[in-house]
Amino acid sequence: MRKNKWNSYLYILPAVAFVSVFLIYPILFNLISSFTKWKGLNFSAAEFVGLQNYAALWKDTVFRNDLKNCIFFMVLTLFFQMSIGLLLTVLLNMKLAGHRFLETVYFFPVVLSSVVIGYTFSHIFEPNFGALNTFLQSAGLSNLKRMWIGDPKYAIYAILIANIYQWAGMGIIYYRAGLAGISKDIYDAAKIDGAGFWQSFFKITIPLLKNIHVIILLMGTIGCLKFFDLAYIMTSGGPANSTEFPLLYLYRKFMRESNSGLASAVAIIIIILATLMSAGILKITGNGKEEGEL
Amino acid sequence: MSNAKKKNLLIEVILFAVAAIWIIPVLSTVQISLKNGGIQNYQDVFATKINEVMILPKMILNSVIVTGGTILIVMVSATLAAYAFSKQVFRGKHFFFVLLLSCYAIPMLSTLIPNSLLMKSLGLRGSYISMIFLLATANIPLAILIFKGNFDGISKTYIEAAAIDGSTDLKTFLFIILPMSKPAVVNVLVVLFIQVWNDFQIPLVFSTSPEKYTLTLAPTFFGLTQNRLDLPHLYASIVIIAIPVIAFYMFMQDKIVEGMSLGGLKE
Repeated sequence: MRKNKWNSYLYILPAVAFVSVFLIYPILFNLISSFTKWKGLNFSAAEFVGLQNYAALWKDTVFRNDLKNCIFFMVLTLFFQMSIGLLLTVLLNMKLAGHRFLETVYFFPVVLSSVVIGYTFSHIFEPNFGALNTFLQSAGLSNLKRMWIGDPKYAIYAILIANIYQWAGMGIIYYRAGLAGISKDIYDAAKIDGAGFWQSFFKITIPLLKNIHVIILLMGTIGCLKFFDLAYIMTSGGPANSTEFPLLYLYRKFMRESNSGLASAVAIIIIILATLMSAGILKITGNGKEEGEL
Repeated sequence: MSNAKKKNLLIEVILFAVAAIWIIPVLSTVQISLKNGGIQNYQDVFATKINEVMILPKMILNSVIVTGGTILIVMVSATLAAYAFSKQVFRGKHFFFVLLLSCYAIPMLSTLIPNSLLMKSLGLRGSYISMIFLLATANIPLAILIFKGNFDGISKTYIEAAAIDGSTDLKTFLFIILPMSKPAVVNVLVVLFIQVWNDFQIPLVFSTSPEKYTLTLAPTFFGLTQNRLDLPHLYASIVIIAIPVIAFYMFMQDKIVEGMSLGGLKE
């Protein structure tokens, strides 16, 4: 029998305190603030404007475009990360020579700061000296050269590639753990029945890794809503807002335009979307609330 | 060569080709960092001063302080809370647990405005504490999840045996649970270090003078007009940012990989 029931509250107190003060309270503040109009950090001068900020966001084509970018980016990045990650994992799982070395190489971008990845790829895509255009030039494909980051059509793909590079290694880690849980007997049985590599891959591997797919999808969607670093470093949301994301919009509205009420509304929308998406994915795939458990 | 051997060779070629592609960005960055001056570029970056203070070592120090402070707070609060959630019974347990976990989906940047206001009114604007508290808050939920998962696996028998021997809750926590969960502690520690050390958003927004910049803000600093460096020097600073983490990765690769597979990243 617990002698002192209040003990438990003391144990959770530090964690709850930090989260309440620096996360929960800000959310509530954002909620209230989103219904007002005020500048910079001068909240005392805030005036109540009801749903005006939300209406403005609804009408703002730039913001709608940001959301579109977010979804577009999310779908593409998840597709590539999952497919590249899974394929590499399956191949690595064959434990051919040098597989540990290969894994070290594939995973190392994950430990790098977004700053390093961002600047590195900014340079690779640099029109005049960057690795990509230099390579195209020397391969006789100079007509394929582009202003990768300066061109509204291509900039988002540049960021996409940087993002895939950074996180593909994570996919390998997750899938590897999942793969370890699939018995080799299933594959052997399939081989006896005449299944080839791709057949096993699509009919056995992919379906049996459903749990892992869910975890990656969940973290990927939340991650894309939180997306900021690479876009800020590589393009600042340009050119022509083609690579702007919701958080960048928030940042711009607050830091550059001092439109705090509007920025708060953006924050609330992002939080709502994140919650909805997580709930949605969990519901669709019929899983419980245990994230991160493999 | 047999068919199987041919297939394996093909796969190896593909895998190593991918690895080569993976290394290209590194080569590209190192190459430009050495342009026009070689190693001297790195020396120049280290020697840059503002107000007679060498700024890069200061940034490294700032990173160490912020990372260390954050790790301390997260480890203490998360292990204590996880212990309570895992082994104790109390009213509101489920409520608080869900509360803490649901914070995972919330980007810290969306708390930018209220926290800036809060820090300003607390007089903590631009201080180490502001960055440490915020980074800690961002990482506590996931740490709790990982620790609870690990503590759950520790059989209740140990705790009951300790209770019979007259151990208090705290003693049980410190001398039984913690030692038994060393692998998880190491994993979280290692992942925390990388996440906080690499963090860019919080220092970007919450430090007010270059003296408090962490290492990740070095390019921002060198990008400011008065400090503007040419490209090779800028990329030398990028390599300098990457080196501590890569060294850490080389030594602790297994622990890092294990830790990251337990719970996702901020992404």
